[in-house]
Amino acid sequence: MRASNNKSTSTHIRFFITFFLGLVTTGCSAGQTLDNTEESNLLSKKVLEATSIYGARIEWCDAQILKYPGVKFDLNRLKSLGATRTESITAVSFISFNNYYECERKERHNFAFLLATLKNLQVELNVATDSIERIQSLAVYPSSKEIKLEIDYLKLSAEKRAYYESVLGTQPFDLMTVLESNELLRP
Amino acid sequence: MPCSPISGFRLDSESRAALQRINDNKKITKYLGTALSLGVFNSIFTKSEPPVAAFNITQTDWELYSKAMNALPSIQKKAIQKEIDLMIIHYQMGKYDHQHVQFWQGMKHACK
Repeated sequence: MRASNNKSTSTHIRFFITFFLGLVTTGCSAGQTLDNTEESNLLSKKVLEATSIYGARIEWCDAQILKYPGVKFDLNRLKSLGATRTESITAVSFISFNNYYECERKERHNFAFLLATLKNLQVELNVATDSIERIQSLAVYPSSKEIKLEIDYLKLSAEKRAYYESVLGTQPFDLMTVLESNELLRP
Repeated sequence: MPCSPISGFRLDSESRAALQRINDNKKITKYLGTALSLGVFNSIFTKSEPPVAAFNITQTDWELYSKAMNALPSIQKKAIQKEIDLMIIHYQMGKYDHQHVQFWQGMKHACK
C-alpha cells in the first residue's frame, strides 16, 4: 500500500513505536494472548475502525451497482472481433470484479494493512495468527480463481479488451445481470 | 426466484471446496474476535472463562465495536457472493455441468 501522505506515514510510525514499546513489557507464547495494555487496545481499535469503514464502503459500492445502466454488446462487433462466448464471459467477469475492486480498493487496502500489521506483530510475539490468516484469505486477498480469471482476460487481444471495457465502463455492476441480459449464460 | 429441485446430485471437489469456504466465511466474526488477541476486546471475545479483570471500556470503544460488528455482514456477504459468482462462471465456461450450474444459481438466488 502506498502511503497517501506524510501525515499518515507519521501516524503509522508513531503507532509502531508506541506499540512496540508496549510489547517489550509483555511476555507471551504460542496460543497465548497478550495482556490488556493501552498500546494493544490502540491496535484493536484501529482494526475495528478499519472493519467498519470497509463494510460501509462495500455497502456504498453495492448501491452503485443498483445505478448501473443495463448494457448490451453489439453482436456484429463481437463477431467481427472473433469473440467467443467463453471470452465474453471471461471479460465480463474480470471487469465486474475489477470495477468492484477499484471501488473499494482504498478501504480494503487499509483493512489489509492493519490485519497484516497485527499478524506481523503476533508472529514476532509468537502468538497464533490463524484467525488473521483466515480473514485475509476469506475477505481480503483475491482467490486463485480470481487470479486465473485475470490471466485469461489478459490473454485476450488488446482490441477485444478495449471493446469490452468501453461497453462495460468502470462502475461496479452485477455480473450475472449483465451475463444474462446478453444471453451469455446457458440455462 | 423459484428454485428447481435437483435429483441425484453429487457435489464435485471444486464445489465442496467452495462450500467449505462459504461456511468458513460465516465464522468471520469469530475470527475477527480471535484476531484481536491484543487488548480488552480479546478478553471479552476469546477467554474460555468469564473475564474477571477490571476493564475500562469507554463509550467510544463500544461504538467502535458496534460499528465493526454491524459492518461484518456486508464483508461476509460480498465474499460469499463472489465465491458463488466464481463457481457459476466456472461451470458455465469449462465443461458445462447443468446440475452444478443449477445448484450454484440456486445459491446465488438464496435458495439455500
